[in-house]
Amino acid sequence: MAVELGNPWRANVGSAEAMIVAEILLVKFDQVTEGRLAELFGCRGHHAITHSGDQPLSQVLRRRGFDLVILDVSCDYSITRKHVAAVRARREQHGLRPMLLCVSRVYRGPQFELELEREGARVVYVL
Amino acid sequence: MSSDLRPIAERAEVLLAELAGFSQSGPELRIVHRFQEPGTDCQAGEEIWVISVILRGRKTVLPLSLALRQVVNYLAETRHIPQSATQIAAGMRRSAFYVKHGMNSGIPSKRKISRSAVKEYVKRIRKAFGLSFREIGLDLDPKRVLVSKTTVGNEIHYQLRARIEWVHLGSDGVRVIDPTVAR
Repeated sequence: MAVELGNPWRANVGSAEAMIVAEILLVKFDQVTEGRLAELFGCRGHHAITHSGDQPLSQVLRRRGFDLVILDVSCDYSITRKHVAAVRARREQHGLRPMLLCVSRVYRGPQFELELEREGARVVYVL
Repeated sequence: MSSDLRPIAERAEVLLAELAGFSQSGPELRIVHRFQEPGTDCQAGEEIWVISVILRGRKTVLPLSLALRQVVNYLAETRHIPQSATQIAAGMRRSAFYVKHGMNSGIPSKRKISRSAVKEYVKRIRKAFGLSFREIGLDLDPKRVLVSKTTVGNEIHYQLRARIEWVHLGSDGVRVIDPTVAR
């Protein structure tokens, strides 16, 4: 299930404004970080939603058209791969949307970064 | 997680800007012409040497044969107007650039492009796009780059949706042609 965070006024914005607002999905972050990121993106005029993990990511992506998925890849690599594959499958069917940004608290070397970049993701470290 | 989350927001903005750029004008293609005569741009006698896709500073060469490079170059030149296979074949046959392709090198390398060949070439170009996109991690359907457009009749029109940069190699070194003023 996807839980909506931040930017509560968005429901009232007109279609012209809605076009410049991005739909962002936050995956695998802790609650505090999710809240802070949603606030940060809300300030920039975007709409952040968090993926709680109740449903597979592929289903959430199918139900709603996201512009960007931000994924915390600090922990389990097998789950990361599953999520990255779900985003990639979606992109193969629907063009470049959603873009994928992987965030890591742990430096795992250039090979890790290269593997994710080959999957079409971008990596940012928050050390 | 660390207290400073601004790098995430900044990188996210970059990706969203990239997405907006792609949605508007497609990926970036670089077409390199060589054997340029000094003081001329895209003139008859030059050779279409190589065509590459560029993404996030990474470049990969499209695996295209001579005829396919010529068709991509033609579609890039005329990318604002969707054209049928017949129009593409006719346009290429009447253009001195393709008739005298590679003549400046002393070894001409022209190809005769027919209407039926164009249809086959479109498939091969898409295949080449697919291979190169995968290589640079770009999940983009080649049919969204070399677009087929239906008409009210049964004719199909083709159009290239990409940002194009022409680079010329001549005796005076490398020079970049601004796509907005080239041809």
